[in-house]
Amino acid sequence: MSNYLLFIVLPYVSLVIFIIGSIYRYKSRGFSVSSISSQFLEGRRLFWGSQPFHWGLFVLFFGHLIAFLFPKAVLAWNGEPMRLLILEITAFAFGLSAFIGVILLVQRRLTNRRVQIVTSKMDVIVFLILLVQIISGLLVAYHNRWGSSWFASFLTPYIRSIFVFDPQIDAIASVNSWSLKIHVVSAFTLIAFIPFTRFMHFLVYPLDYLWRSYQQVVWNWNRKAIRTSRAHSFGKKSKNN
Amino acid sequence: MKTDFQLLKTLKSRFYMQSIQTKMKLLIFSGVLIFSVTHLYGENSDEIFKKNCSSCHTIGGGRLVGSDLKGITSKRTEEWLLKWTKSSQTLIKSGDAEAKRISDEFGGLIMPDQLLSDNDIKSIFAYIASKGDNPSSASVTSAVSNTSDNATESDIQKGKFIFEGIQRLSNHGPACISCHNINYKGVLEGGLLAKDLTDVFSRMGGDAGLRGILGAPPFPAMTESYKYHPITDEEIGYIIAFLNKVDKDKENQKVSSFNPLLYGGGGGVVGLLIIYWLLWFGRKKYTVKKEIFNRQLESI
Repeated sequence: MSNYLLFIVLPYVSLVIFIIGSIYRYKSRGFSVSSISSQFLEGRRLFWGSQPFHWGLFVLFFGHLIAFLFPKAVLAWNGEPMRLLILEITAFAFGLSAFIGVILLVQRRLTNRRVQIVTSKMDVIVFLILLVQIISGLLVAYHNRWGSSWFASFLTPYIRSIFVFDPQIDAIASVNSWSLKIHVVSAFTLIAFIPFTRFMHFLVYPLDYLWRSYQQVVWNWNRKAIRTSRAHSFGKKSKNN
Repeated sequence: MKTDFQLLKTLKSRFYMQSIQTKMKLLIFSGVLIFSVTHLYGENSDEIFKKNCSSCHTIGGGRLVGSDLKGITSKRTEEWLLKWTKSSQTLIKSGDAEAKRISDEFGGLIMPDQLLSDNDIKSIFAYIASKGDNPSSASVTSAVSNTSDNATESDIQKGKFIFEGIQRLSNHGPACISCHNINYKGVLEGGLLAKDLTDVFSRMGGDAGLRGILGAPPFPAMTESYKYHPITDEEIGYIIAFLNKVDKDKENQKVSSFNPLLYGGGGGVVGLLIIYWLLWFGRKKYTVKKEIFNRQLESI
């Protein structure tokens, strides 16, 4: 019964909330779709939290996605024990990177008063979900190792079964690993919380920053002159990009 | 000379005789067909028994890997037998006392789930019932011969490669090492999601037990993994040969306490932190405001 709730009902409820909620928020309150930066308030500790955290999550997110989309390729890669080791160690290192990052970010938010001012209740939930997700993921990788191989073997079919509306939960329900079950459940919980939290910002990653032309920022300190200026002109597109 | 009328009569009677002959032929043919179908059906349950059950069970021949099934139908209800055959583990987990007792009696040895239709299972038990009602008196356990005892070095080596994944399974199933660990020199530390297989050969009933499990895995995660990628009989033979060898050699194997993930991951994350540091070495290390404040301080 609880398996039915956790591995069938929860995924569908989460996905529906995620899709409808995200579209609604983007359409009705588009400018709130962001993760409000606190870099102006505190930058030094943010770097050592944010960089390891985001790079860790970035690599792990795509790692999970690849194992879901191309399970046969992952199994083929893991065929050679050395390649399996390289993959698992790399993934574990990025997992630790995300863990170190999130711990530093939590610590920063708890101890820096300027950051506390801009902290919302939802940020607390975001941190709780992330901590559960990252710690359970590391425990799975360590205590139930070679996750890349068994993910491709029986979790990919489970997730696929969710998307084709024919959920098969025997395998995931039978697994003798609490950390894995917690990891899966908290992943679906995270998806449900996306529209209500700063998680939303991963959907609007500013990819065009990679190829847009440079912006020239002019620091003009005569603010009165700026306010009263009648000589505004549009900037020229840079020629070096 | 025959008249036209007589000719017509002769033709008519011939035609009549031919039609009777055709009908007779049809009748005989149908009879043969019905007989052979019923006969085949009878053979069918025998065949199913031989294919699915006989590697572990006998009917009146004594205990093999599993119990002697003679007279089983008089001991248990059809409903119970259906449940047990389809998934013994589900029945045990449901708290059925009899199922648990049997599991304990056989030292927790797992009977693989049989992916057979209700009708097939019923016909097997009808076949067993036809062999006699009285429970078998042959209580002596038959000696189980393990053909893997005579496996060649090359077979064992093939099994090792399949176990590790170096030799891919021909139907592209995942390698054993994904979920299982064994303590054997020269084999990478295995997965820890499922049971350790170092002594699985003696624990799970030797050749017959392992062949049953690998042919039709009774554990849901394993069932799912090999549902569309079954392991071939030949590959099962190699794997069993290797596991037999591992089981025999287990006393000589060192238990490795080295965990590649811990050291590799720890070293890796230090490397990553250095890379982040170098990549953004020229970053603005303080807030923009700090510079503004400093400038303002200078101007005062």
